[in-house]
Amino acid sequence: MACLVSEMKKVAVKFCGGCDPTFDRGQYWLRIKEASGSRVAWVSPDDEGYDAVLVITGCPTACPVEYTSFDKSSKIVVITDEKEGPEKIIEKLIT
Amino acid sequence: MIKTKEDYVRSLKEQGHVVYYNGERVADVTTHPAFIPHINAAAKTYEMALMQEYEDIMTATSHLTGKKINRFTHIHQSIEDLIKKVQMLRLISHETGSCYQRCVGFDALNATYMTTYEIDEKHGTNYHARFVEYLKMIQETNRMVVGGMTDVKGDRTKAPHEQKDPDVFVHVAQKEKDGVIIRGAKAHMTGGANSHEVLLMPTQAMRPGDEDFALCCAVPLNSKGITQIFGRQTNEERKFEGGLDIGNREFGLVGGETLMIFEDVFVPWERVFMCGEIDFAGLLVERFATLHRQNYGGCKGGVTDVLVGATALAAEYMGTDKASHIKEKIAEMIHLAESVYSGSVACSALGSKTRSGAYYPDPLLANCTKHNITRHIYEIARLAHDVAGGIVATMPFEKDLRHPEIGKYIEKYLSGVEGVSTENRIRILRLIENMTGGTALVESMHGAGSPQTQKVMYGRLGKLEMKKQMARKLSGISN
Repeated sequence: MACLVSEMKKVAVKFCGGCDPTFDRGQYWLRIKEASGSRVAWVSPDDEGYDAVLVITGCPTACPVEYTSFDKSSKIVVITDEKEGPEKIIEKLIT
Repeated sequence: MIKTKEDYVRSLKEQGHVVYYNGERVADVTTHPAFIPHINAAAKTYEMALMQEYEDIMTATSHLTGKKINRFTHIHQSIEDLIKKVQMLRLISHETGSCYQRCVGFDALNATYMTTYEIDEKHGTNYHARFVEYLKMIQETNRMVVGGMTDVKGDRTKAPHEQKDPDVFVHVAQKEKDGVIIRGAKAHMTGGANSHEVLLMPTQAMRPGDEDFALCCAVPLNSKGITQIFGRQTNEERKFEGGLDIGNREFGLVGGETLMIFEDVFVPWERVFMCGEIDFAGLLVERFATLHRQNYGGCKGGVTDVLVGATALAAEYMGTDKASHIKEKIAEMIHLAESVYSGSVACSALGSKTRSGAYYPDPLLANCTKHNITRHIYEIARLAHDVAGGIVATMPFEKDLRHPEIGKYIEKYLSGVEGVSTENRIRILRLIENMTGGTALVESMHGAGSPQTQKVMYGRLGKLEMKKQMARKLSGISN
């Protein structure tokens, strides 16, 4: 079990504010979260020591990328639409 | 601190403010059908601030305390803040399809913050420090503030001090050691019945003799001497029916406005932020107006997004959605919505820093934005009516639909395309009716100032002399 926990990737999720999104960001994240199972421990960007950040934005402007400072050593995956399936997003985050 | 919808509703239930509705004193606004839709809408400003997917817009970091606060209590610290304000308004409108009221107090807080700073610079007063303490309390408690500007004004040909009855402008009736006693009334107080505080400001520029009317102060709405009388709205009785005829099931038609009366209300000095400085009354009005006019492409743009969706569905439900003229009308509605939104974004993007450090939208562009709303919302509503058809105005009652004998006729003769229930068709048509009739349109016309007030600003801010100079230069006129 300890081994499993250590293999889990810590991923912070950050949403844009959603002023006029082109898709349901909350629903999309729930699909990704569900698909990630025990491979990902989801944390807040305010936490420290995460491996990657998933930035879910409602349009290509992707405001948080411009205005938010993330842990520079972490991988950042930005989503601006829901074209890619959850599994592909998870792969990007954990590999 | 008020965090959740439940906190907010409880706070209203407990505060014991005096509100009258249709000739009766309301014991509890939180359980009264006339107020629940407006409370639900305002509650969204609390609920959404707690949601991860909205916090980037709905919250901010206080420049006073460094704490995370609801954006409606924030003082704009950058261009980004001004833009996020507009984005936030569009966002909440998508959830409510109507006014959620809290922007008025937001704008009053910002206007007072920047103006008190400059009053103190000139007059050596300490209004700004007082206001900062008040603001910290608001940020800490997350109380909902009404922006109280519009006086009832009596005889419009006369200045405040020339009125036969001075109470037609809110004013200082008496100064005391510990504070002031105020009298008068403010009209069109959006969200007044379900707020905690009112931040009073003068209604217009003041002249010598008007010193008692140059007043800015904050008053809890449960203070002794405050009475609010709720304004009757279009189709008001439908709120009590609780069925589908209301159109918007959960939220109000507009903000819910009151006539707010102050009958010898005591205000302690620590809550007084202007008292007699007639030279700053006009500036405070102008700043509040600009900040409030900045909003309209955001909130009405967002409301229009919902209306565009409803109109497109109405067409789809009766099978006209593929007709080229219908597509063209829907496209025109989208064009108008994005046009008004771009005005709000533009006046924010070209905003500037005031001496206080707070940011302020471009006033000329903000006024143009609001002026466009007074026109385009009517055009958008016209297009919605055009596409949806006359049925918007002639549908029978819900009770007819549910009736054991005649319900079958409604089902049959109001049906549209196969696969869509008659009830759903009626629901979407009622939503269109709700969003485009009577009170909803008038609010777009006069909220944040009537069209003429924006035109007055064009005269002042429109740089006409510079434009004449451009023409002289190009035409070769040298003098």
